Amino acid sequence: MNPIGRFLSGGRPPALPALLPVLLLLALLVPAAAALRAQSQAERALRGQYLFDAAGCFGCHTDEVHGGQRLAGGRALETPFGTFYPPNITPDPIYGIGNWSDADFIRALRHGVRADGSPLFPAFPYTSYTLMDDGDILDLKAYLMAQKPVAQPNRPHELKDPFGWRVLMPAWNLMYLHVGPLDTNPRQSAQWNRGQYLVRALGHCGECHTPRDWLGGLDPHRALAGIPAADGGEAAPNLTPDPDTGLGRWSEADLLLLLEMGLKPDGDVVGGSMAEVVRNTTSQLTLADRKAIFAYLRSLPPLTAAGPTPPP
Amino acid sequence: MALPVMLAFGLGLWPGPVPAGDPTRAVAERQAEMDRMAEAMRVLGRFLKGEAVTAAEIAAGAGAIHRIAAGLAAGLFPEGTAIGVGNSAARPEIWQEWDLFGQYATDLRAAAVRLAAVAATGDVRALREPVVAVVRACGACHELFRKKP
Repeated sequence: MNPIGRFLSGGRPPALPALLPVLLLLALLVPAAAALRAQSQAERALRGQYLFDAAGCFGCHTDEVHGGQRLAGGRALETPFGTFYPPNITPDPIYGIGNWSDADFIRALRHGVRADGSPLFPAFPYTSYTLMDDGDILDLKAYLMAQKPVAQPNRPHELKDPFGWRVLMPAWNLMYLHVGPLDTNPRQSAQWNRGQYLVRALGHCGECHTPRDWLGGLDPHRALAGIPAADGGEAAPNLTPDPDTGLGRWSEADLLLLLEMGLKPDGDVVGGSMAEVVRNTTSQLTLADRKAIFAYLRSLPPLTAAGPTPPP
Repeated sequence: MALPVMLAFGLGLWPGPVPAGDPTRAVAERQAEMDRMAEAMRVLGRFLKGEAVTAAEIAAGAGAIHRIAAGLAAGLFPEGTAIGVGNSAARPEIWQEWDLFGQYATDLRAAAVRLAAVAATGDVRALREPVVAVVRACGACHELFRKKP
């Protein structure tokens, strides 16, 4: 038996020369493992970049209009419940998410809970992101962690009572949060399933295009049926294939053009927050993903719009 | 008022906004003009979707877009015609950020000039890029200054 084998069997510690091969092996393996992990994180971040665009993270977490730093938060989101200021999601360890573990990040997107255990408000669309799968969530985290940290403190939300009471959020979640991830529908094609994932999970289209009740919960029976303008806010058109009030008369080419550059079939060009969604999100998607969105939307049950009617 | 303003615009200058005589009427006239713009844009959309469109049709559309873009300062957006007047979708930021709005108008006009120039060559294959530039110029302005949808 060699000196290391004897030591492992309870014998004397081996002399240093006998350990040299092991030490040499370790000296080679440890950096190799670190390099593999770094490569794996780089690959994750690369995949995460696409998810970051598809999930529209940039728009809410960057105060672009006021020259705010990328992903450092602070953009005012005005809603009927008050004004939300999305937080800093750069990897800054104090003001951002630099100290968040993988589990923390998954919990935030899946359950709407911050790393400190307090509940998030659903202005952060975790009711949609909960449908993402773990691999995609961690790819997204890898991308965020590869961005420039910004030491900018978060601005507190300015919400009307009782909507600013975080203590109520667990009850709200019981009513409205349907924890994911999204199940694949085996009766539908891969394209349809991809479209469902893009629309419902990543793109969180329902957050604007589905009516809400007075507590801010989405009405599942009116999914993507559009909303009228209220309180000076923006209206959102019906995305279901109703021929008169929805997208029923739109061809695939019509929707692809809208998603790529915001041009509607009647020659109008989208404005407001949808123009931003086109710039930051839908124009960044692959053609295959834009086609998947069309396939999914076209399969929905047609609903009559309560909001504005898309052009024929 | 309109002629000096258009002359200034033609020289690359961006004049200040003019006051609206009759705001409700001004909104209606602006929207009628924007409908004419949409007619031209619809031709560009058909081209982008691969439908049969001639270079001459695109050149006509580019001309209309250029004419309307040149009118953006000359009375199309007088003060007092923001959201709340008629069914205006114009955000008040237009008049708060008048110079930026002017930059977008200038960009659209330049994109329309370029599109008309390419269309005049009759080379349909070279049209995609300048067509996309016009569409993006519209979208950039709408994002900041027009209420959805």
